[in-house]
Amino acid sequence: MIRSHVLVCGGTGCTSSGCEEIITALQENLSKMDLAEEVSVVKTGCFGLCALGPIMIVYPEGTFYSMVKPVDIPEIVEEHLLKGRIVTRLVYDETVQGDEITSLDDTSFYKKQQRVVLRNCGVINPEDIEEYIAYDGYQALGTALTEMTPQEVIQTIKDSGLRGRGGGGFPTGVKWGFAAAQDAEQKYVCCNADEGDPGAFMDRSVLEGDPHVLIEAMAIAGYAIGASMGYVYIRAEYPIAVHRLQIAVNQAREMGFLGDNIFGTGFSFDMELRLGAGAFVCGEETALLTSIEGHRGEPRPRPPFPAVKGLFGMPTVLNNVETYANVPRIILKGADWFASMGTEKSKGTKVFALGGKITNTGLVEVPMGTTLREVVEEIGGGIPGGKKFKAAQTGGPSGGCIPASHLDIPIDYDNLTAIGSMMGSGGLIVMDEDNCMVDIAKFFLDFTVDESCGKCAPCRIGTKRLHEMLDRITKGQGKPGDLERVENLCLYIKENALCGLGQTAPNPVLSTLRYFREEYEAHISQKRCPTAVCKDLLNFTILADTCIGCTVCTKACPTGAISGALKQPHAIDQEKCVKCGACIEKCRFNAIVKR
Amino acid sequence: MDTGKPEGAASIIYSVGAHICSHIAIILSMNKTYNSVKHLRDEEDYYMKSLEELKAIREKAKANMGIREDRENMVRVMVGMATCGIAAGARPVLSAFVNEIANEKLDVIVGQTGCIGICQYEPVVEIFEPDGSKTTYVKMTPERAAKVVHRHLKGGEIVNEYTIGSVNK
Repeated sequence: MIRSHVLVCGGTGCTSSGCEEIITALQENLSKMDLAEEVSVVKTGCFGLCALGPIMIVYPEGTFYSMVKPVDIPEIVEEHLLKGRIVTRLVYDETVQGDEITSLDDTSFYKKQQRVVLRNCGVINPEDIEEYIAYDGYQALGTALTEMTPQEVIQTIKDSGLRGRGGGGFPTGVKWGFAAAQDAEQKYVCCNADEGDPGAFMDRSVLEGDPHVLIEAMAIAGYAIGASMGYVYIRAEYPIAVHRLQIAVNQAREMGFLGDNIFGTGFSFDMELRLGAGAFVCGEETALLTSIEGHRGEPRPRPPFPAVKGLFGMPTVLNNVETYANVPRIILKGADWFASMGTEKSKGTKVFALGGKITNTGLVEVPMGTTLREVVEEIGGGIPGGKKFKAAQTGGPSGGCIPASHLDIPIDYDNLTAIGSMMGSGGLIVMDEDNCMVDIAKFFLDFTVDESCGKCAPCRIGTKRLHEMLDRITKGQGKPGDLERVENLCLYIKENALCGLGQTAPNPVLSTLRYFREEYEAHISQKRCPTAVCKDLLNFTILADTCIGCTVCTKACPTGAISGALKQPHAIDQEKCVKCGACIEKCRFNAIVKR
Repeated sequence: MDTGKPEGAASIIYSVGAHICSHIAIILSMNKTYNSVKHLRDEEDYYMKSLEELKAIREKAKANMGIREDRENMVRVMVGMATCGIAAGARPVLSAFVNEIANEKLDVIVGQTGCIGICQYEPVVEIFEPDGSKTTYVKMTPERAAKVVHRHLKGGEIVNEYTIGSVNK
């Protein structure tokens, strides 16, 4: 009899931290201690607390072991699994209160979260369809097919207030309604699993941890609009997600949730995966559909919208993974349940990928309306090193930054757009006082310039010129009037680009200009980078009163820029200095500073 | 909708054959750590035909995953596995409980605990009931474990002669 389950996180983050070795070590040690028939090892999806991976939870106790290493396993197996003594030093320290181990749900990371999209991640084995079924899996599909009409399904989604989670925030029920209203012999249901935003991994975690939820939702969508075929466009850079989703599709077909005559109702639906090839622009809806058709991923003008004329010219619904992940739960628990969470215009929850300068990097899911301060300070655990919060970037290269003055903003679609940012797909990069906002804007523009498909001039040429302007500014070659030129170009690109990539590429520039204009001006008029990040504007200086003249830096300098006699304060020749930082590394008296 | 499958006994042979082929394909592509609910795959009529069939699979699967739930209203059997317990032979007692409970298909949590202080009476097993009451069995052996499972866990009757209260008599 199995008396204990050991759940090991098998998401990409923990896999690269070595969870496979941990699983092997567990199995070996369990055999050695003769426990293999009593303890079962289950590989699950992402628990969310990625900063503390590899992660392991032992049931029935619910003990949360964090930062586990393979060398710890013999001890855990012998002490905890055999003798029942929890290895406290390896337990997530916030759950250890004196002699007691408290519940994970009470920790500051999990307390304010509401896991709807991520409810199965870290709880079930994603490669086992029966575990999905145990937690109400495919119940929604059965209910929709046998007890609801397609119109009723669409009305439920409309009433729930679900909006597209890919960033656009378009009401999902309305989109499905458009597609359902079209008359065509073939319609399609597609899923955008491209997740191109740097730093975003929400969709990846859903695909790796709970792939069946996507299959069930797409089948429900197919029923609602009258489609019999679905495609998941998934980026090839997610091999674990691709592997698990394919296994899930195979299992679903085997059990009859995909294929002909599902649940004996006469409704047929099947789906296939299509792998992306590394283009950010293929996350844009029309470019994505063009790519599935076999062409180079380039967008096209809209109207006609994909719901009317999409894949292969047929009515198509294209939604993001996270949007779909909400659908089965809405069908099962009702539109009112979903609408009871969130704000008036943004219902439900949102998954955020916390990254950057924050203690608890990982995946969080909060109801809409949670303030940014709660996410950063409470759930995220604040900024490490006692540094001050400067800004949070939402929406990746398409989004804007939110400065400290707006920390108390309730997160929802409209609030964020009003202050010059956008919800985006959920990437949330936190920046502290050591980040240069001009450099950040240039970083995002680097990305968009690279990823521009080149079809329209405003994006192809405009973003490149914009990038060149920012580059000059960070190198100390800014001229008066540059900021006005930058702003005009940004507005022009926004208004004239063909697709969302170009239309939103200037957003990081515009929002950093709006809230951190003084930094730009310092770069241009004073040729100074206030946070000492832009290398070409830095001067390395030796503090005369701290330098003891040991000549260590003189020997370390590769260009011979430092001069000074023994026991006399040294000096750096700015003409020869290449700002490599070797001198700072070698100085044991903190006598060299960057400013 | 007619799927073209033959009727009657032939359909059983057909579906078993189809299952075997698809199982081979799945096993070849699946991960080895998945081992908890394999037995369900040997069922006939695996192909979902109705919501009722889905619910039946759900109940079976849920039972296997019950260990991950919050189980405050469950009977807990805690075997003392401290050094004193293990030295006195608690490991075979734990195995005996696990096996007997599995044979009787009882819904009970089996766990281990540390030293509760009465080392001379080890192996010690404490049984906690949902109503808060606790029974302490001492000087347990695998044979006694089997009796406790049958008479106490299954039959609801405390085995007085094995409890700590009976020791000094």
